[in-house]
Parts: sequence; structure tokens; C-alpha cells
Amino acid sequence: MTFEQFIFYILATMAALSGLMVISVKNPVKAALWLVLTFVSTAGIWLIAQAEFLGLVLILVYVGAVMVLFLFVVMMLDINVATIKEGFTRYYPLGVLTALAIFALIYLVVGPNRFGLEQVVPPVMDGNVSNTLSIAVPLYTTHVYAFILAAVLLLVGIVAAITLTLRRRSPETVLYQNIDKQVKVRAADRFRMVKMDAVKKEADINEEEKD
Amino acid sequence: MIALSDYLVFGAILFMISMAGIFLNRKNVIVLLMSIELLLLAVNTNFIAFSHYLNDVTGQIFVFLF
Repeated sequence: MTFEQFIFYILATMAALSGLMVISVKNPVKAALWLVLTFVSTAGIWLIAQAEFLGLVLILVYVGAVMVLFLFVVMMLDINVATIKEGFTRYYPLGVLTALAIFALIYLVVGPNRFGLEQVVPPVMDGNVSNTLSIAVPLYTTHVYAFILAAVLLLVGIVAAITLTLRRRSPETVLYQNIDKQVKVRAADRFRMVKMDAVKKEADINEEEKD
Repeated sequence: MIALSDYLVFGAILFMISMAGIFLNRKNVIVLLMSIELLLLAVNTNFIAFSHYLNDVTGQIFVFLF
């Protein structure tokens, strides 16, 4: 086993175990933190596959931004842990069975007998290739339409999010400045004379002392 | 040397875990979303592995646009 393989298997084991923790821990905050570990170790695997730019972007975007978003949502919603786990044991056999079946199917297709070292030879890379440059040039030339399409999709997402959260307020609840009303106002509208005693009566004071 | 099948099996394991997570945590929307993120991560790992072994950067551009 070479050093590269050793690192790969350690990272893969870490990612798989922390992924298991994500779906099995009770507390959503802890699940988010385990998800961070999964992303970090997967970013290491991407680095081994010489996708340096994407590995670093994965850490920056997912660990830095998306996870903070998740934690914000989790801590804001204040979810009751006991009610969440009600369906856990009920769907346990079905979930495990489905997952194992799907893994077996994928393994039959992409396992070592089809994509092993004998079938697919690893590429020889020279060290002078800039991964960022080799992504950037085709991104803005060959695949520019896909890039613009992604931008438009993001715009649609922004518009949808704003539309969902926008609430039109009725004119009664919003405080607009109405200059006509301000000019026409009279003292009687704002000011009310109340007739009351200057000093409290003896009986009232005695009652308050009893309380 | 790491075989292409190692990356693909790793992606399959992540996919399996997140699939089980979607079944097990049906009540919890947040963990459901996290499972979907794991699913996307598995698919992206496959893209990057194939892009590395075929010496074609298009797979990485796909991952970037995801």
C-alpha cells in the first residue's frame, strides 16, 4: 500500500463514518457539525484526485457558508428532538435494505472488476498544470452557455425566495406621513382634558396599603 | 496507485448512507436536507474521479456549476 493509498483510505473512512453520524445523531446541531467533517475529508479526497480548486472551494463554500446557514436555521427553529425521532425505528429496516440494495447494484457496475487498475490506467500528470486555469478557460469559452444558465437559475432562486418572504402590508399598519392630515389636525384631536383630584383620597391610600 | 473503482465505490458508500438517511429521518427536514447534500457530494466525487482519469476537465466544470 503506497502512502497515497493510505491517505485516501483514511480520508474515505473518516468521510463514511462521519456521514453515518450525520444521519444517526439525535441533535441536528451535532449532525451539522458531523457534516462539516464529512465535507472536509471529502475535500481531501478531491485534492488527491488533483481537483485542487474544487477541493478548496468545497471547504470555503460548504463548510464556510452552507453549514453556517444550516446552523442558523437549526438554532432559530428550536426543534423538539423527541418528536423528530418517532419514525426512526419504524423505517429502519426498509431504509437499510434499500440502501444496501442500491450499494450492491452500484458496486456491481463500478466495482474493481470493471474500473480497477487493470482496466483504467491512472493518468500521468506533470506538475506544471494550474488546475484553476484549466477550469477557468473552458468555463468561459466552451461551456459559457451552461455558466450563464446557472447564473439565470440562481437569479430565479433569488426571485423565488424574495417572493416567498415578501408580505404586502395593509395601509393601516404602515406609518406613512400624511401631510394633509398633519396640517388639518386640531388641538381637540390630540389633547384630552381629564378631570381628577389633585390629591388621592384617604380611603384609596388605605386600600393600597392593605394590598 | 489509487484505482478509479476506489473513488467510485467511495461515492457509492456516501450515496448509500445518504439514501438511508433520507429514509430514516423523514420527520426532520433539516437532516433530510443534509442527506441531500451528501447525495450531491457523492455524485460530485464521481464526476471528479472520472474527470481525473479521463484527463478531461469538463467533469470539474460540471461540479463547479452544481
